[in-house]
Amino acid sequence: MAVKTKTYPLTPAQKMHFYTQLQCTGHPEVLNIGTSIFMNGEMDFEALRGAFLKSYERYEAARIRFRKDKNGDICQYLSNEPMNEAEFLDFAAWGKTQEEAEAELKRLTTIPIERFDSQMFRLYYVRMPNGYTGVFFLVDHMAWDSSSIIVFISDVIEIYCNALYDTPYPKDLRSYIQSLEKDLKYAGSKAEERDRQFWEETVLSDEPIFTDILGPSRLDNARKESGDPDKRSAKVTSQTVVADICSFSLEEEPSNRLMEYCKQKNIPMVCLLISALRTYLSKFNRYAEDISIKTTVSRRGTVLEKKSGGTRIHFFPFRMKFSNSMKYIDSIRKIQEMQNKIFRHADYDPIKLNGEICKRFGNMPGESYDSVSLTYQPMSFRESNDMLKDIDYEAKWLTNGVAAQPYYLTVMHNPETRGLDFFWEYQKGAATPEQLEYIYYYLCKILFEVIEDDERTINEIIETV
Amino acid sequence: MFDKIKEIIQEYTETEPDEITEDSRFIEDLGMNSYNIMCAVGDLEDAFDIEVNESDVADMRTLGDVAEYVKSKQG
Repeated sequence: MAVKTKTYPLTPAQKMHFYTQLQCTGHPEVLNIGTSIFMNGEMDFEALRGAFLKSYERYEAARIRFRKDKNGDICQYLSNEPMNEAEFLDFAAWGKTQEEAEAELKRLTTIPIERFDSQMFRLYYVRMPNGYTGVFFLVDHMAWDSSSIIVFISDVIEIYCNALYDTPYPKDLRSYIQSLEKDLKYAGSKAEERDRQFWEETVLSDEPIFTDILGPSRLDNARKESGDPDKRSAKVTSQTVVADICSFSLEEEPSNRLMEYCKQKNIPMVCLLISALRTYLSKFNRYAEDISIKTTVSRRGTVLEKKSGGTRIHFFPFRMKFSNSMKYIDSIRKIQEMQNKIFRHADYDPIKLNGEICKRFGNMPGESYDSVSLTYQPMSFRESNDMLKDIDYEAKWLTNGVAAQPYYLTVMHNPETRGLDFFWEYQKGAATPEQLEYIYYYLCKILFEVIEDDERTINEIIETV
Repeated sequence: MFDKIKEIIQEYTETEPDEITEDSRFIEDLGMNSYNIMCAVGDLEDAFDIEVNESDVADMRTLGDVAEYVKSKQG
């Protein structure tokens, strides 16, 4: 008798990605995340293969698959099938140049993963022309996020090191299903009602107003086109969802000054960054005082959530409505308080919230109040795993060439330069690298003015830069 | 009360239970971040039937601070 596989509905975070894919018609690769991790020197590929097979068995989340149920709804289940054999890309033996090898990995990142009854990742063992060897790992965002990739790869590395160097075997990972079941219990709970009230008070009680990183012209145009001079929402339209990335690096010394400031004032770095972005948006949007950006919450609080994989990120509007005559340091504290509140209400379904906002204020599809997303990523592969601290290796995130959001800024620590990287992913039709460099330049000016004297008001900082 | 607080905090840290004391600092010793802390605050509210103001959280750096806070809230 056939064993019936237990299926589960999608979580809000998974639905959010699914809708993103629908939004980017013709570009299913929008959900691809590519990662390469290469060590300097020759790896033992047989031991590496063994480590992947072992970790695949230990990590339920690596076995997530999707299918359509009898009603046509997408559901998920854990597969009992063994891991697909990985392909070996021996660029060194094939006589490829480093550039050709990198271009091929980039191309592979744009090939979508089959959605149904298929393993939600592709693995390649790689020998690069520059003598580095390792893996290229491509996943589907509906089943993985950066945190779950890091947990999986770290586990593989620890098993590999245990096999070859007799280092300690890694601790057990946690159950994806246990975490999923907890997530699915949220709908209709008291917690959901409590969270709904928070969002009601924060973004639904009075209408926010759109601010754009390129200035007020987009809102002005939306007002003109709609014939409504008081219109407060706008749509960041781009001819194409085809995207590119550009990155600007802040050196170690100034980055350390920012971190030292945060340490001394006991404020999280992300709050300082958000405040700088708010100040920038205010300056270039007629000194607006009601500013919204999009924020991401990883929702990995408990050890279970951290070690069980899957995809858990929720996007929310981060609304900052306060006077620019406020002392700058007080505004950072206010942002910190707001961020803490968002953390406490971050299990709320972001699609549901977006629908409620559109309904409440009569917005057309795609219209919103924020133009830019900001994420701060303090953790790199190196910091995630003690074994990697002394190893000469390089890890890279690769772009899939498509973005659902017009401007997405990630600020991350660069373990090589020990500085901060301002990494932009942007729709090519929505901005140019020069415009983004200009924004980076202003953000830095604001940040260093603030740490010089945060007793000044926001207005005074705006005037100085 | 301390045991209950410790039980809650254990869910958020990989530190061995016998290494968690009243003096353990959430960020420096237990490796927690703002998100972990705010989630734990929600659990503490449910467990002790209290309401925690977000602005009070910054002053709670150790498990001992939390125990003091809960005591003060319970009157």
